[in-house]
Amino acid sequence: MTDATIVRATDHLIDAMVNDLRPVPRSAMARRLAAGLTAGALASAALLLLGIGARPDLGLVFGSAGFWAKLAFALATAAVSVHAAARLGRPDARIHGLWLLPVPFLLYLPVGISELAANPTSQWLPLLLGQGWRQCTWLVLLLSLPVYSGLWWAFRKFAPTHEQATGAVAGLSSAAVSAGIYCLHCPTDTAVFALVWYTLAFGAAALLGGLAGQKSLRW
Amino acid sequence: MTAEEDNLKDWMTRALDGDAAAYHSLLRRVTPLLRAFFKRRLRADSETEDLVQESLMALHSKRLTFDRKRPFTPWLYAIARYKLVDHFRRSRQFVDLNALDQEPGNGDFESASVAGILLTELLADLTPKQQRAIRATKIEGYSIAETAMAAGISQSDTKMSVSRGLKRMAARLQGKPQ
Repeated sequence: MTDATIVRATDHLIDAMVNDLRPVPRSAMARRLAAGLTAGALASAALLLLGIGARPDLGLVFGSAGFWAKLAFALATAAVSVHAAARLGRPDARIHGLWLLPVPFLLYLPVGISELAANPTSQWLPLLLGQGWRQCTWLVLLLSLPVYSGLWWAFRKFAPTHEQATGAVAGLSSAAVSAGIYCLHCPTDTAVFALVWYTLAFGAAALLGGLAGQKSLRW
Repeated sequence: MTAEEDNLKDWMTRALDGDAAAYHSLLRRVTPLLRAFFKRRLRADSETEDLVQESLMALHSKRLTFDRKRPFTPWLYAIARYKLVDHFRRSRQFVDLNALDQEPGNGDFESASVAGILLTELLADLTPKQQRAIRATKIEGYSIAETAMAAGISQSDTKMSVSRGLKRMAARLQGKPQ
């Protein structure tokens, strides 16, 4: 091909693009993100309810502060990380503002410390292990997979230029959402428990999400 | 902000609302900018045109990621730079990304306009006094004494405004939260 033909090909491309033009609503990105997130969260909730079921005392714990604090920790982490991920979906995004991510953890931390302070040292291990520490992290990670898939679907139309950071923040978002869903099952309402095992799942999901994002988020 | 940026952004905004004529004007104007961007950084002309086309297609398929509240030029060149890095990645050439950013532009529209936009953003963050002091001494080239006289404040006050303002701008550039 000569230079002139290649340049002519560019002209054809421009014509094709103009013909293909459809209006894009202002909220297109947010809508797509919400759609992916909702579909993923619903799949994850269905998996939980059909697979292992809700905790039997779910109706009773609605009055318990411990339950709501744990749920708030998960959902606040989900909110800040989804917000950060959404920003990273734009090509001209700069990686800053990520300092918000640990804020829910830091706000929840004093609750855990006060639990430790209120109990004798001999009770610390039972507080930490709660009921089901063996499965908690794994289940949160497992339930985060549908959410991560939903986010990944949304990001395929976005233009992240920091794939690894985007994947990591998306991984964190998906684990935080799935931790919120897992609250329907998780029988332990102490802050010490959630601060350790939920946060472990968040970290692992961020790590795995970063690794997965590196290749799969290229465009 | 340059007039060029205003034009491009106006076309882009109208294109997002479905205005085909504005979109055509935008693509016509953006193509030579992209060509210049890649030509300066690549050896073969065929590679240049490939990347121009890839960037145009990305502009099209990723146009929902353009934020109407932000300038167009940095968005466009972020796509172009990504496609360039991707090209180097695929062809297994190693490239120093920092050098890519720092490459001195000779009458380069990209660096000039992006720097201009960045400067405007950074200045907007300062107090009016600091803004005036930095504009006068660092951009327009007046002396401290002239600036102080014009503003009707003392010379030490002017110096203080300049140094505090520069410090704040440097902190923002390094991405420190305020």
